[in-house]
Amino acid sequence: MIVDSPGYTDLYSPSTGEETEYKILYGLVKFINILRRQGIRASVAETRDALDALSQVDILDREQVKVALSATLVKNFHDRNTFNKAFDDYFSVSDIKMQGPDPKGVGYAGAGTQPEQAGDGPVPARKDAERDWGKEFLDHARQAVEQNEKLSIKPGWTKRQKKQFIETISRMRGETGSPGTSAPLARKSEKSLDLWHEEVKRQVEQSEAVAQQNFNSALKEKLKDTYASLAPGSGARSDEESILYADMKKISDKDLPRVILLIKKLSRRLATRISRRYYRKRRRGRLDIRRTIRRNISFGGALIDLKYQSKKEQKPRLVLICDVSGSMARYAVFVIQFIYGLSSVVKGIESFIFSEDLERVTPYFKKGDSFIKTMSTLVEKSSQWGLGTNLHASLDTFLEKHHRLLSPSVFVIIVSDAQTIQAYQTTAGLKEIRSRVKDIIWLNTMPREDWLWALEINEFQKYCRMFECSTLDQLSNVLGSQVLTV
Amino acid sequence: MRDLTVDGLYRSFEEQGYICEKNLVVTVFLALKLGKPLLVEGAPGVGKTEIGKVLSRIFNAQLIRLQCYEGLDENKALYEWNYQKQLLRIQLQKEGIGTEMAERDLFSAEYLLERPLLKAIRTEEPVVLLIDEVDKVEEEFEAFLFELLSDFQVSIPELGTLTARQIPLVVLTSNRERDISDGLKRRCVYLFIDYPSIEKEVRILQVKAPEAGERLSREVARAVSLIRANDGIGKKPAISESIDWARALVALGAASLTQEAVKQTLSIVLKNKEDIDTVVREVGVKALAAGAQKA
Repeated sequence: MIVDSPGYTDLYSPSTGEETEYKILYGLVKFINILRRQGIRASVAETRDALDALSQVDILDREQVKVALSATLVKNFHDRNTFNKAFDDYFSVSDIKMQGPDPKGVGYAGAGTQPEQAGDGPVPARKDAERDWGKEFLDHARQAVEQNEKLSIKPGWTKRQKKQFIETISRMRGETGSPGTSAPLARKSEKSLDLWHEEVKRQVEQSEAVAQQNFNSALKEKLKDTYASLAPGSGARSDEESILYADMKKISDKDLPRVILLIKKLSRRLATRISRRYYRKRRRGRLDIRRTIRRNISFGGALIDLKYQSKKEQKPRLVLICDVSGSMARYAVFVIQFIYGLSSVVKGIESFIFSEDLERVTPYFKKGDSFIKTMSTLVEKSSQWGLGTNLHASLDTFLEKHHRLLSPSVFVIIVSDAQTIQAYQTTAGLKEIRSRVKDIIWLNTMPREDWLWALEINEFQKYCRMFECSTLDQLSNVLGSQVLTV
Repeated sequence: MRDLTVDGLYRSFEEQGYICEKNLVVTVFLALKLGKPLLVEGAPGVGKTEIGKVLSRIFNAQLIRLQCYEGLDENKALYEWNYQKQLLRIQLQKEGIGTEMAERDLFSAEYLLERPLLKAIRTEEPVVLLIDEVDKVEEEFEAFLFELLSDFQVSIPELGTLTARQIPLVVLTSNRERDISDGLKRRCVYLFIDYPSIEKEVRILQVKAPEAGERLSREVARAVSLIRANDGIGKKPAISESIDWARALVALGAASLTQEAVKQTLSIVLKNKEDIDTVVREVGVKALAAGAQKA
């Protein structure tokens, strides 16, 4: 729960002069919570930066506010669309509320007193509100500045509390602060980023508890809408993201060119990361005394040029065994392409496809044709593409004909949904292979929650490490974290 | 810096020939005002590095550039002892030439080779520190960078802690070959630069290749936009390639982007055969010329 998160009220409990600061934070923290729920990593430091940034821009200019928050909270290319959507949705709450009957008066319709109005606001009003962001905010800001102190001081406060509050407000306005320091934040705080800060204030005056509760309910409803609108498939994701997180099986033919480019990019990124790691490791190692002395004889024995011993990096060797039965063929195309994109950081790739039996397909990839051409030739000539699944028979064939490929530096990657006949006999083959290689990584396209019901999967997992892998993102992560970590 | 305004900075960017949207300037403004490094990401050739150069001109500051590459380490980025000079000094001392010297003299500023990062924080004058293509360095170096960029001080074991004489304006650029660590990002204000709109590219062309004239500039901008829209292109044309294209067309005396002109000059804007074949096949020279000339 965002709005009523435990400890939230205590943490920011409004009291005396901190109230104004609290209201600014209140709005910003809620917005940042929305972003976090959408996977945008915004730390406390970045929240502080966002506050500082708001104090530097014209807060009456919606676009500048958006840029300020974006520049300080969103540090990832993929998060930009999510942020834009969240901002437009979240900050429209205020805009719509401003369309009340008496926008300049004290009693414009608020979500707290009349929560239904937040949703009932006229739809066209949103566009108008966005257009008039500056004007409406200016009006509100003037009100806020005029009424800030008297609205905020509660009837029951002691003299000391009132004094403290007024001092804080003055300080925040920059009246007693050092020149050029935190004054802007205070001024902007009075102009207030969010109109509902002011609504909270009014409600507090009327009936603190009830009004706050109503307001929160209205806000929660709005947040719910915001979350829904940001959900995958809602259009908030960019094209690239939608492919990255989509089930590979559901990627349509029209998206293929983009998928191919994305796979190239992902595999290149992974390969770059790994090659860099090799480079780095080569720089380490023990001092090679013999070579160092020989090298430095010409300097009169002064050790100027140090030579190191370093263990030669072993690039992993991959054996790929891909299920190309009816349900799996689509995945296989993408996985094979991805694996071949890593060829610069793996020593050698041997590829096999299987359905009812195993077939070696490595030679197809050595002809130098484009990937699309290679795959279409492969599909055309393969005797296995699109049949039923028998992993047991396939592994037996592998062990019989290709056992020489197995060595302790080899990773065997099996791509399959584990839906095979003779499932229990398969474990023997798996066990045999496992004993002769570095590891078996099983990329399972079946959702992890369904594994419980497939008992054979438990058996397979005794001899391999199995990962859910139905999207390009998962594929990239598994290969990056499990295989290419030498 | 105190009197800096968004509008003022925007005007300065324009005066320096950097054509951009106001939002970009707002982000740069925030980085300057908050005293934080500016991390600029975007495809190659969209004007990331240029921001550092423009800032150095606007603030009349020295531009110190650290070009990142695989294997870059502290010795090349921060400082190194001048071993040769130290050895020479020791030899001279042995031969009885020169004055008496203590070990600490060997590790004094005289024997310190300042690399770009140290130079940037030790210079008295205002500095713009441009750390270019930061995505090319290792993660350890990134970690070192963000420590430096937080405190603007460096510890040199033999000399102690050296603090910045002034805080440089720092611009980091990345082509997104890999993700930058969260730690470094957290310390920066983030800016992503996309390919320009047609209108913006026309304006850029008019500034950078005025000899092309408005009509040809517009045609080039439209054609480049069509090319960039094709997902099959491996390396999309950068702004600099649009400028080169416009200049090439002018050099050939082409007043307009005709099919013939496209055929003759497509290799200026696309730098590999696969991309040229893709554009010819999927967009077509005719469509490119017609699209460019569309009113």
